[in-house]
Amino acid sequence: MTRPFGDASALALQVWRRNFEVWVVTWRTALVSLAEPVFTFLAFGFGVGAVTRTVEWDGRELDYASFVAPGVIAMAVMFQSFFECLYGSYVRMYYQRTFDAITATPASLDDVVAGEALWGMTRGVIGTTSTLLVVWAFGHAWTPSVVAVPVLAAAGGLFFGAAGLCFTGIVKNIESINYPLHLVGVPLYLFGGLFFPLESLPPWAQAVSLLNPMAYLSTALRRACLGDAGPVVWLTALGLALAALPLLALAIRLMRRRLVK
Amino acid sequence: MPPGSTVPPGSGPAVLIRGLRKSFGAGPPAVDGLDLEVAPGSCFGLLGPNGAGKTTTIRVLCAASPRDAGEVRVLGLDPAEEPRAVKARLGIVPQMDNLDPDFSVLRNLLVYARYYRIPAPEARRRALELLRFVRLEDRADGSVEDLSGGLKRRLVIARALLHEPALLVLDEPTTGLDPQARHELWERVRELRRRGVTILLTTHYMEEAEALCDRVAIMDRGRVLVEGAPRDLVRAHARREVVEVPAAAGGGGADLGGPGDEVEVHGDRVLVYTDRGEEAWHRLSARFPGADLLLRRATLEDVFLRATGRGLRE
Repeated sequence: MTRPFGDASALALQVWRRNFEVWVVTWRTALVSLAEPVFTFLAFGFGVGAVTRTVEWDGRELDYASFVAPGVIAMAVMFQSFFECLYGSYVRMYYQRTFDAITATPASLDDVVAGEALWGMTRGVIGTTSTLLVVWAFGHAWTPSVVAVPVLAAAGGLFFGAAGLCFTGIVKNIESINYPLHLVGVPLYLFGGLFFPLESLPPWAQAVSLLNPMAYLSTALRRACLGDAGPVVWLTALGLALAALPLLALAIRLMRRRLVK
Repeated sequence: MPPGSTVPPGSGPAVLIRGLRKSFGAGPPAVDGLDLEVAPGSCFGLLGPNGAGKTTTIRVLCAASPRDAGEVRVLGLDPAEEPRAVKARLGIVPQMDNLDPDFSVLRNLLVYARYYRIPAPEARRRALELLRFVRLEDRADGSVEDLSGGLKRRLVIARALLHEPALLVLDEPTTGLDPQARHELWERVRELRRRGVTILLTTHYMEEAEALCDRVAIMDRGRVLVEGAPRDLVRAHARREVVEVPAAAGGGGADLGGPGDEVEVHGDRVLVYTDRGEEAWHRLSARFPGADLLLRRATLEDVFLRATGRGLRE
């Protein structure tokens, strides 16, 4: 089997649809998970914003709330998709045996993994859109270039969803999910230029952040929210989407190794 | 009527397994040269103690596990070569329920039908019909979480029949169910048999195999030990009747049998397998007056225990 995504087929969309319909049915808990970015925006916007009124970023002087709003959107992309494909997928795989149920039908495990990644991407978009509504409510990001936000969210969501699935393929048990979550996820967003400009880091840390996908995502989101949807923004989306593909191929292989015995 | 697309007679066995081998890492193989044949339209029981290789065998033929060696044909297809085609014609009821807890009873079936590409109106028609078949029609809009173990099992069976499979695979379908739920489920399985669905089931329960199966294979350590119709197996391996004698009364035990009888000591009982039970019972009663003797019909359980040994398994 040399095809990158194995035998993933259109049935992946039915896996996606199943997850989407569960999300609709369980909308109350779904809403709760959307509260986090709202709280973050309020805390950072008002709290930190009161201490640090302005921030210099990309040669501009920004009020802190305008600066942090796209950061909170970036956080929503990552946490919704990464967490969904880690914790959510693990629960479906192990506790609910949903993967077993689906793979007993003509759908294959590769379909399931691809469907889960697409669902992770969707969670990223949903989380971003709802966060954007809050950001708008506070008068930020009122610009046509904001159309790039859901596109960036989709690309970033696919990337972090696929990354989450890679970890789901290898974590030992549900407690072990804390390792990728706290040792990978948390540093990526804390040092991803979400809450402070990366330029305030020492040079070596700035160099390290060149490897951080969140740094690219937050920069592109910030440009889009500030009215500058230039080629860099769209290239970032393309780059994240392309980078997601080998991760998805890897996730399919790790999941096969875990489940096909 | 629902489930019933059978393999036409003369088109070969529904399941054919020759020399199947399958190992997991080091240690003894889980399946070690297994041969099996399931005739279309029949109900075949795969019996064996824990770790005998039943579930591994089922997983291989359901295209869930790759095999190491041997030939496997399910409805004429090789599950390793054509997994999707095989799975499209199999209905699988797994050991552990894997219903969607967030969906209603009916929704579980409708969502599942999509993986078989059954058009929505047709899926709804079949789902409602199957809910009547498993007597869950008044729970259609209820939550799956509110169903008892037996009702969940019935829903899983309905789900496995949505695409009208040619072969229904039941992996320990009644483990953990109370007697009422078990009998209710047997009734449904017998009804499916009457409709001509080929059934392959694994079970620990010998009375279940006797109640449902035309043929059974008793397996252990990855191989088939004995195979045949339950009644023939009992005749061949456990005679007609059994007299149980307390070991305390029966001394050594080996001399308890009459001509042609077979005697086995099992813990605190001596078992005399005989074709002339009443005669043996009278003879042994005279010999051990006052002892608590038991005369009973020989069962598949006797065959099972004789074939697989009485030692406890983990």
